[in-house]
This record gives sequence, C-alpha cells and structure tokens, in this order.
Amino acid sequence: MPRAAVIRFPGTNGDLDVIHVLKNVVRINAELVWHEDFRHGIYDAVIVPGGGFSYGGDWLRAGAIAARSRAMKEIIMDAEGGVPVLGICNGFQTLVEAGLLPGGALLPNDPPRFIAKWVWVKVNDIKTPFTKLYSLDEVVSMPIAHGEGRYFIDGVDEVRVAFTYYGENPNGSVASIAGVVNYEGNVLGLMPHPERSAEAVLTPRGGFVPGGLKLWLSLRDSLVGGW
Amino acid sequence: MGNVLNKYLVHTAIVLKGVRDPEGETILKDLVSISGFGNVNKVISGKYLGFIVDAKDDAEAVSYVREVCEKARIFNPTIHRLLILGVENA
Repeated sequence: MPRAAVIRFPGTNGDLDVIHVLKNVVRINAELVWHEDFRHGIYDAVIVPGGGFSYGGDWLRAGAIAARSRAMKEIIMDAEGGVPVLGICNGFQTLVEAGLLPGGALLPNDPPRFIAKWVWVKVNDIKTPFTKLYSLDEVVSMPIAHGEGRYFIDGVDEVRVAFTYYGENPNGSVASIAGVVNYEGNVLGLMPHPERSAEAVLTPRGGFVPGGLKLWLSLRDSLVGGW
Repeated sequence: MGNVLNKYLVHTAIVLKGVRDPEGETILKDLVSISGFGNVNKVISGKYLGFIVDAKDDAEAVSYVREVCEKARIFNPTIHRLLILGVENA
C-alpha cells in the first residue's frame, strides 16, 4: 500500500490536519515524519505542510531556513526521482526557496496584512498527481491564511500554473497565481489550504464547497494508478 | 603583522528591488505624510543584519560579508538588493 510522508519542521502546525485527511478522509497510509528523520527513497509521496511558521515565524524570510535543511536535500532527491511532492502555504514557500518550484519568491502580501478567509480558485492544470480528478478551469473554494503569499517571478509565461485566484486577487500575486507545478508535473505548491477544505463539516455556509477534497482523491488515485 | 585578523562589524540591509514595497508605502502614507512631512518622497522597508567577522581590514570584512550573503542565500537576488551600510571595529 502506498505510503505518504508528512514532514514536521520545528514550528509546523498544519501537519496533523494533513495526516487526518490522508488517513481518515481519503484513506492513504500516512506517517508524520520529523524532518531530521526523513530519508529519500522510502515514501511514495511527500507533503510539506502549512499552517506553519517553521523555524521561528519565518526568520529572515518565509521558508528560507527550512529550504536549506538536510530534510530538504532528501526531498529534492525524491522529487528528482518522480515522487509526488506537495507544498502547502509555508510548505509552498519552502519549495520555492529550495528551487524545487519556479518562482522568484513569495513576498509579503500586497496590501500588507495577514489574510485568513475562504477564497475561490480556478484549476489551471490537471496533468499532475494532485489535480487529475479536477476538471480544467473548475472553480472551487479553499481557505487561505498567510502573510507572505504574493507570488512573484520574472517571466511568468514560462510557469506551469496549477491554481489561480478567481475573482479577487487577495495578496497581489503576479497573474493571480495561487499555486504552481514544476516542469515535470510531480511537484506542486499552493498557498490555499486543501487540508482545511476536504470535508463538508469544515466548510462555511454561503455557497462554499470543500474544494480541497479532489486534490487528496487525485493523490490517492495517482498513487494507485499513476497520473 | 600582515596576517593579523581583527574583528569588524559589518552593517547590512536587505531591501526589495523592482517589486512593490507595501510596507514602505504604508509607512509613508499612514505615518509620515499624515504627520505633515511633505518632503518625504518614498520610504523603503527592509531587514537589517549585522555580521561580526574576522578580517585583516575593513575592505576584506565587507567583501567577505558580501560573499556570505550571496552564497548562503541571505538575500534573494531576484527580488532583493543587498546594501552594505557601513563597517566598524568590533
């Protein structure tokens, strides 16, 4: 049975949410792995969770220190071997800093404030292990909760965009980008939280949908049948 | 005497380049301009870091810190500019 690793850095706090969804909602065999204990070549998928302020509230800049950790070197080896790797929120920032995903940086939001609310995102790429069960251009809702989510890159046309904010651009990201995927398609990062939007019970009233569920179902499907 | 190392404190700042700086803009608009200081054109926000290093002179201390900041990715060259603010004996 496929196994997914959920990496815990010092200060990570979204890890147990991801474990819950993997184990109880989509029934994937998942393990919480302390970053120092993570080794490549063991797991079939790796999730760098969010909700996190790994290493002291993102000293220096978001994700900069976790990106230089030994665990990140191990994750890079898995990613280069084709293992699906997902970075959520702080995990997305870390994967960009580590060079696993294209992007100059995730800058402090514009306007400059921490944002925590449900937003609508459009699915722009369904040829990834995390998005295969969505429809192209499907619009779903997920919550965001970040202070540094303004995606910036020189040469935005060359990026494989996975998700864009639909309607309002909440943080000033270039081209309203909410998530990107690497050239090969196996590494995805996004600012919204699919682990907090995988169940109806956590979805607020007012027309929102648990838009993260298909991401986890896609992962399960991909681990069993490829993507 | 030629290879005696002294301690120097190198002051650096990391500032944004070419992308919007909403923190600086907000400080300008909501603190500076609102207080009546009309001659301030722009406020640039950034992060200060000081490095105490061993070097043989000021110039070597500065070039060493510049190398540290580049190679250890203390700043992100795509979006940041590294400023060397000054150097003093530590």
